[in-house]
Amino acid sequence: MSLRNRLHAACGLSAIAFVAVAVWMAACIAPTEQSMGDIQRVLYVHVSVAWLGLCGFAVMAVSGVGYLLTRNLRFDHWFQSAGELGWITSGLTLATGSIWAHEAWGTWWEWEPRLTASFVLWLIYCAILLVRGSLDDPHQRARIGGVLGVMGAADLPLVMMATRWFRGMHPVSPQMDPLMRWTLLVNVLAFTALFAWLITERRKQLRFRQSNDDLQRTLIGRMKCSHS
Amino acid sequence: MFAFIVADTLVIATFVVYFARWAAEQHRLTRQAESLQEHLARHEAARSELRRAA
Amino acid sequence: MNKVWWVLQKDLVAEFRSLRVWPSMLLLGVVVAMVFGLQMDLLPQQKQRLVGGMLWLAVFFAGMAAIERSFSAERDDACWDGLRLFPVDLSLVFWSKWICNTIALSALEVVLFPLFFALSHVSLLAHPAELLLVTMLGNLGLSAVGTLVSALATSIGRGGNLLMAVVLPLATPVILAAAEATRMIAEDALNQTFWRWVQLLLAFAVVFVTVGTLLFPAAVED
Repeated sequence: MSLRNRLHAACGLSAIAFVAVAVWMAACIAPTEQSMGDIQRVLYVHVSVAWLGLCGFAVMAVSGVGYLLTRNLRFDHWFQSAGELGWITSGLTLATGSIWAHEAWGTWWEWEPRLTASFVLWLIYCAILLVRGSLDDPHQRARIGGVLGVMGAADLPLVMMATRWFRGMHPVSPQMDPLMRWTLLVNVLAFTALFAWLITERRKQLRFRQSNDDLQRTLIGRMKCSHS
Repeated sequence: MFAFIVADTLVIATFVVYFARWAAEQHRLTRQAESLQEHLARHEAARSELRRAA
Repeated sequence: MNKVWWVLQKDLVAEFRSLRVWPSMLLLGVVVAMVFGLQMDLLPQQKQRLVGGMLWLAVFFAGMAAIERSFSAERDDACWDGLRLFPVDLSLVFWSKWICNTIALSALEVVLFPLFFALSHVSLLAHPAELLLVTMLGNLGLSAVGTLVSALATSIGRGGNLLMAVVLPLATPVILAAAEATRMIAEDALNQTFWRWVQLLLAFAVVFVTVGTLLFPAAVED
């Protein structure tokens, strides 16, 4: 194992330990909320994955612009890994939100502005990843991704505005116990660390795959040459 | 507390599954890279053999 | 601007001669309107609330069927290469296609609005100027996002039809805003919220025309 690999593994392990601390804080340290009770503890993980869903989109859009400007496939590896993980976290946002809604409001789903907006975000992720999955040429895939990523990034603020106006304003930032705030902060940071580690590892893997594909192509080319 | 456990387990399990898939893919790619290198080396050897014979 | 007009004129003339896209778009719109109309067995007040959303969904689905094909004719007969040979900036091609698609959507609405009026008996003409404003802004936004995605879809050939699935989530703000504004017109409730929806429609159109102008060259590469 090279030093660099060890460093990567150490980063991963510390991110996992950080997540463990965060979950423990959410379960045991944070005070129980007065009116909602223990259900409110879902908030910590829910807010974390919701934030990561947006982060993933931001990384995706920026690397899409990077690809369109430089035509370097390295940006596309960032794009793909951020897209996959962003899709997963925004799906988890819907799932954890749904669990919370079921416990707190008694329904699994409500067409509430934030829910609607995150649903649209998830749909855009789905569409981008599906279209990319159906393409074989890496540059074509990167170009389509770049254009769609920028369009999505331009669209999301409008989606949020529209859904908020559509169902009326809701109070956003409730009063919170300081210990709750700390727990929330630790949770967000821990899950962000895990997310960042997974993105970089996945990106490295995609680059590896690219180099394998290139090697395969040169090998096939040479075989053709020597046979003819 | 039940909802909290379900939600956190769901999130962490998803990340674990993602990581497992990543590890499987990494394993496959490493083996593929090894076999490609081997092919390349064999091809090089055969070519130099041919050149020497000529 | 002159050049935009040339390309636009070419597209309109081609469409009027061949009638390849618009008739099927209109037919689809009428069918969707019929289906919605059949389901709308409601009290007049409930109809007033619903008609905006249904109208804009019908416009969206029928319109996208047409916009989706706005570049396919160019690709089929290698017209695209001919178009590229002219000393026209690519973003101008986007503008002309965008205007052409806006005209197509307006033509669709000329048919659909009276049809919805006949089917639902909801008077949409209480505020004609406001209705025209909402419709035009909605058309401009919808056709901008549709044109860009359709350019992208045609550039990848096979697998491109999957791409149109991304248009509905992207167009959510326009559909919501246009539907709400139309509902307010139908309910005769033009308050401040109405004008906010109009602003949102304007913002969407501006954003997507800008994004389209910038990204169009990247979207149509082979």
